[in-house]
Amino acid sequence: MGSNIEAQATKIFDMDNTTFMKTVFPVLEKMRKDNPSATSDYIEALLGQSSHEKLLGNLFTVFAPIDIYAGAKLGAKVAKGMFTYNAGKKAVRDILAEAKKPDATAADITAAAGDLRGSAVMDVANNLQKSVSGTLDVEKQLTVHIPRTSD
Amino acid sequence: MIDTPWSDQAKTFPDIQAQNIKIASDFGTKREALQTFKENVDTDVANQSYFGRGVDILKGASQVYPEAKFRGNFVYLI
Repeated sequence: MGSNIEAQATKIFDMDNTTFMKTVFPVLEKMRKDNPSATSDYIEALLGQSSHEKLLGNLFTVFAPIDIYAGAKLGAKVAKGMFTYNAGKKAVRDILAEAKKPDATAADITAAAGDLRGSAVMDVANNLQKSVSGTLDVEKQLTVHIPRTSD
Repeated sequence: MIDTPWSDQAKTFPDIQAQNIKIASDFGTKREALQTFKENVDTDVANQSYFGRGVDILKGASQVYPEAKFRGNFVYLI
């Protein structure tokens, strides 16, 4: 009978709340009228099962926390990659827009990079400033300093 | 804020996280409902006459009665 109680607990705890209320309590109410002592034992058995590792494992397999965690990590990595890619693209676009201005300084160009600050951006900005004078291969410098993730 | 799997999940899979919370909350509600019902039943037992309680206890002492009462309320084949 133990495995039957286990199966019953698994089934009722897997129900949505509305179905649970509609299904479980009429049965318990009928049992209660007939034999309250047995009903108490029966509920005790169901509640006992509810804290068992196996039932919790079955129930929470529905949303598989480990898989979701792995998914979240992967998702975060992809999202971070996308963010980096987009931020990088925006920074480059902004840097280039700033560098087109005839009076742009390295500081102006760096500021145009927004949040994506760092030595690489500074370096790009410095190089871009040189590019204003027409002495630098801009595309080559961008390829060197900002990884191309679209390839 | 320090990133934890939970906060990672909140950012990456908010819908799934909301679903997780609901399942966990429903689980707690069911346990609570059963516990409350049991407490009410226990009050009934305490208020039963000695004779009625004695009969119920004798029924429970047999192997057949609990099998018949407990088995197959929600699952029939096991």
